[in-house]
Amino acid sequence: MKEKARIPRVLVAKIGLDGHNRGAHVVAHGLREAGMEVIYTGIRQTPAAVAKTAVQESVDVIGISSMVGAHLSIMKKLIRELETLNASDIPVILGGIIPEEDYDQLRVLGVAAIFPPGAEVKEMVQFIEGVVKMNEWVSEVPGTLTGRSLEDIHLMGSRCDQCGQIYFPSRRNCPRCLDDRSIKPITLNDEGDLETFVVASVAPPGYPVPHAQGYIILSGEGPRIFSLLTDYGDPSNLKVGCKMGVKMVRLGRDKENRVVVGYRFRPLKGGVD
Amino acid sequence: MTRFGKLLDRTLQDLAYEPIWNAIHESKIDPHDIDIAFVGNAYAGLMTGQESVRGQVILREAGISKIPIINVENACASGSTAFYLAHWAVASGQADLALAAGVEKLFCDDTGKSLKALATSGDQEIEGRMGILFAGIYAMRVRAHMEKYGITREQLAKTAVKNHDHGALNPHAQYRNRVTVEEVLASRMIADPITLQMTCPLGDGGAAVLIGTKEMAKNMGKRPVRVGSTVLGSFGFTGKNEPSIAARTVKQAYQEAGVSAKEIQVAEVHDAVAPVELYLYEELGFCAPGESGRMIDERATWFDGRLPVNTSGGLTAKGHPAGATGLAQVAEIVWQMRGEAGERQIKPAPNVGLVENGGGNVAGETAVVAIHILLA
Repeated sequence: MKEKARIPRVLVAKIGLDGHNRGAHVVAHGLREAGMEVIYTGIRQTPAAVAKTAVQESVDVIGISSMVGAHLSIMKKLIRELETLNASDIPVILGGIIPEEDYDQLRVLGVAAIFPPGAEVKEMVQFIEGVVKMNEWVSEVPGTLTGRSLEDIHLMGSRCDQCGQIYFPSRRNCPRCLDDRSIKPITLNDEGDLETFVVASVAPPGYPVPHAQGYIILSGEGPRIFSLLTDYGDPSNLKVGCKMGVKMVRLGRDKENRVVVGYRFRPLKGGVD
Repeated sequence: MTRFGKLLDRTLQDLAYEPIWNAIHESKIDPHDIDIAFVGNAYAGLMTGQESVRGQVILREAGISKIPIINVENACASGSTAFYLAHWAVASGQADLALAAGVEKLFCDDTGKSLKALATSGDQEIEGRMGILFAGIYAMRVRAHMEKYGITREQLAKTAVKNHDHGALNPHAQYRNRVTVEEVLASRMIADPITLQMTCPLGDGGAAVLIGTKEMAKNMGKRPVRVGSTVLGSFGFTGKNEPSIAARTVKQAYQEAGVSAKEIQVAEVHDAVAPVELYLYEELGFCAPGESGRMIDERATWFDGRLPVNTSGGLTAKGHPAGATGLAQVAEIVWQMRGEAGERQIKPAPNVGLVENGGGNVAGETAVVAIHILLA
């Protein structure tokens, strides 16, 4: 499935006792003009608050403006806060009065890009678009997954409003009603029961042995999903009727450099990571 | 039909020639009277590169030409689908005599190539990417059935023992050896609970059936067998409590033939792995749900039992050259009805027989199921 081009979301923030917000305003405005969605926090934020907002708003990039020389200490704190929230994958970029002798130290800390005075907004736009491109993803099996970002992907199906039947993968019509007007895409449950399974001692070329597959009936109204099984440890951890949870796996990149994401199921109890 | 087996030195044309000309000689029909031919084959495109005009190429040696030749591909049910179409041609009044032929060559120097070809009988977009494996699919169904009704591994093994017993008595069978429950369970695990001796082998072979009008049949050299009904069902997004494709399709076949499951006296079913017979007994109405384990324990489906199933040895022992399988199943029922089944002959010869032939896998269900009901 080809995902639609996503509108990048950027958090522009100023941290600590630094009221020089003209630069941040110019950048925020410029990014918005470039078609991005900008969340501006205003001045005097704490690193913890910025990290929290970034996660809640599922932003693609955090842009920090610093004019008073506190950049090393605030960046150290912000990156630590992002780590505690498991959000280290959100790149942080820095603009303002940043002496060149600090660049190396900032890069070691994990700052993704630095835009000193004189940098043009279009350079930032280019950088952010590149980041979003890196996070673009595509389903291994067309029509099976949905999600705003690489970190938040779920199984996708369809529901027919006429007969109530739920289908997986998503569909363009209801094969029961043979009607294409009442079918809607829905996000499916992440858990279900193992209906049946096999741990095969042989596998087609390219697949690991043992080769485990199963059918999972998703909690609620179904549907039934065929899936490879993973992280089950000893095969005796798999039992008909046991609770299973979906696990998204990254399977490399396609020709357009998008991350290929596939779904697998793992036992919720007794499995291994 | 030809003998099934590893027939590396025989071509597709040769495998078609033998059964077609056997049918012509046995029935004493004039081959000029054949109005139309349907040729079942599933994998020649991938195995030999003959993707297009397979039927015309396959029939070349047999001399069947000029008439309409229709290529039929429906995975392991290709032969049955050819039968269904040949019947349709005659029943509709468009043809007086139709030929259904099926051939397959699955053996080559590279087993991986054969397995890859077989794996194309699933949805390549969905299951194909996850490494579909037919032994695995059947294993999942068998496991679900075991869990539901407490079927034992010994009962699974008995289906393989029975079909090998029958294969030992069938000169057309690929496997002529008998096996024991212990041997079956001790053979290599393929896809738990399915062991090697429960699975059908790769196979080469051919089979052919002639279907004609009542008038045509009158002048035949052999006692004709009537087609009570022939029904083709396809996968259908089966929900949790809906009947399976086999149950749905057989219901229609019984209705159209005007017979009930209780009247069936012999059946050939699609035992690509032998234990699927158990849930098929239930889905085809040979016993109540959950009773199939007892049925095999009581030896009811051996050739000398109450309702013999797979007297040919089934796919398990007779072999499974996909395109030929459905027509070979029909041949076995016809031979049983005519009293020509040799050492495995049912006594007295049966008058009502059923064929179940499945193929492929789509959306978690068998893609095609064909049911033929034959009446002596």
